[in-house]
Amino acid sequence: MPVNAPVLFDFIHLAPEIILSLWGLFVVMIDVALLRRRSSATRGRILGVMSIIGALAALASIYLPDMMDLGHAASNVEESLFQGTILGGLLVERLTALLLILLIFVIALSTTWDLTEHWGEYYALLLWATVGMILLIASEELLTLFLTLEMMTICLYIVTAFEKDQRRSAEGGLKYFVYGSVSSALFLFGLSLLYGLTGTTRLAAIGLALAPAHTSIGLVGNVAGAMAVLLVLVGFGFKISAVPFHQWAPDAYEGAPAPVSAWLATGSKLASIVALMKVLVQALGPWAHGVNDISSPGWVGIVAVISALTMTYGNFAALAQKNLKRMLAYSSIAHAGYMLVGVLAVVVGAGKSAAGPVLFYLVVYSAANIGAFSIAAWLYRDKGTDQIEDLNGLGLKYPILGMCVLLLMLSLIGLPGLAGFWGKFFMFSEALSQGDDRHKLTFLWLVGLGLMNSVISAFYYVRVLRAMFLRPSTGRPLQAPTLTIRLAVIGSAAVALIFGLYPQPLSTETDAMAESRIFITPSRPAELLSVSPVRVVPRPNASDDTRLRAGPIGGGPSAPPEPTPVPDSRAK
Amino acid sequence: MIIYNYVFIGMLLLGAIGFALAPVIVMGILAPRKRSSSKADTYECGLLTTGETWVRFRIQYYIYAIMFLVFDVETVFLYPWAVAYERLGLFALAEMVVFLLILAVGLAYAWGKGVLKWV
Repeated sequence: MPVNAPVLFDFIHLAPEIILSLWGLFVVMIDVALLRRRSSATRGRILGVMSIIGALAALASIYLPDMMDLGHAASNVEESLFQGTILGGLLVERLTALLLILLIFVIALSTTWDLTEHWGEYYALLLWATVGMILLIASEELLTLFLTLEMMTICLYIVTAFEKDQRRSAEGGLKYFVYGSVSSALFLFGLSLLYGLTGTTRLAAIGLALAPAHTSIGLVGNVAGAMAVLLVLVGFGFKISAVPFHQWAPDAYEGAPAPVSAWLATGSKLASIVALMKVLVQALGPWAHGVNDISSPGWVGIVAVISALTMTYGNFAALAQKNLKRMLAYSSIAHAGYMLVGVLAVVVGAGKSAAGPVLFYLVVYSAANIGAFSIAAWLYRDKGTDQIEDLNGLGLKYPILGMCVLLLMLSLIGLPGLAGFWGKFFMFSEALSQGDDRHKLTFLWLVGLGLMNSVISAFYYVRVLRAMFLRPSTGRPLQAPTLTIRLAVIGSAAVALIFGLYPQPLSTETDAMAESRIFITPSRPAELLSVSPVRVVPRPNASDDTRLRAGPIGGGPSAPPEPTPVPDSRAK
Repeated sequence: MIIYNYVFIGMLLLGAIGFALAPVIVMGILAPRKRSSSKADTYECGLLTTGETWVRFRIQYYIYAIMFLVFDVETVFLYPWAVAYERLGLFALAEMVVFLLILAVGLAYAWGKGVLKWV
């Protein structure tokens, strides 16, 4: 069998990932080789600046394919790279840019205080985690997806436990690691079942293999299929911290250094939600629910219940929190619940992509969280704690930052005129406009619950504001914030305000990104673009709903994994 | 059909458990018993125990173990690469060089951090 070596073209599309990986090595080596005699604080600053330079270089290199006239981003044609394992195109480029911008803020926040003496390793792990996130968004195939997911989380386990002299940092890291590795194992088992059932690891090919046009196998009576769906949901449920797989999140967010918590809440969640949408819609779309019947077995019902539980539990648990980072952790759980409603809308609205609102929400949510966690970093630097009551009197002492936090919190509640409102509005109205009447009934109660939850969330977000503006200052006063904290807070408040007043540019952009083929359930081979169709070998002697059960899993090798190389869509 | 296949695994499992338990049981039945104080002592290379047995000790060699593992895995990757090298060509050579360079950076890092020094 001839081996198709990837062409140079593919590597040019991977330029940001390659630059970040090598830059991570570079940063570590510089730390070890040149800066050994400097003080920890100096090294932190020097290496931080270097890491930001690396992230900026990666940001610039996104446009390398365009500059070399290789990509077709302008015409929004998506590429299959490395024999169909990695996606290139508008969606990936834009999300990569977003992740890198968030990363720059996270790195900048890390220099706020001297959180570790191992600065080289710390920044390298942040950079490598980002490589995992970018590839996770771009992966189009189960093995790549799993590897990149692990690349992201393993780096994050370590940086969570990075504040070695803090007991709770180690505790948070350990909990994150134990929960994470168990859920990864379950996830991998689910993926292996999917491979066994369809004979392929490509997402689009799986979607096509399960499509009603090819087989009439639903989930009814299909034990292996049901197990696969459940295990995949467990794996993703952990990564996006959905109830009941959320227990690690509050401890990890509270224990991790504030910049790392910010990265867990934004980058990790953003990449995981996009990956979840991709797998559920592109690969498992045909199993969402029975043909024309939303109440028949399928994962829509399960995800709807998870979504309802997640937003309700997250909000009620956040009400009881006194610790700022813990409260933000529960609020991020609740936001994952809202976003699952959007994910459901994507799969029900087959044909036309409805992923735009979810992407919009992700952008707005990430920006707001960077701002909120930078306040936590500031608090921790000067007071060594992150209790909400330590914020007392802050708003009056620093009026500009106070106003920015006010905007952020109101945007997170979803008050009209701010970006958070439009995020919720677009997502919920998209959910209500999808499908026929029976779908509408399902979505109606989910959206109703979401709105009620937004009201509940107001209580705990306002508590932060009450501490900042209405309480007299107590305890040790906070020192003036560093420039990086100011920039992060003002920047994220600006995002909340600007996109709150003019949501149009961003929503146009996210709608364009949502045109990506990964958000469309393939129903005809024509929609698969460059992916060759996979054969599910029909069993002549088996009845319809046992066909898959008697397939490759039980009866030995029957569906050969397709070795078909991707037809080169770039050949001109 | 599936259940039938598991029968063999079950038999293997029973055989394995039996193989482990049989000597213990047979020994318990057949062996003569003579108790003495030196037999009941803690086993430490035949010498008498000195001091507390539950002390903490330095596990410095674990770093060596990690470094060994890295280069062990490298060899595992090198073998199939060498076998298929004829057909893979220049591209595979370049890829392997990149892989080895990354590992070399790892070694240099460990060296620079001073973990190769036995303290």
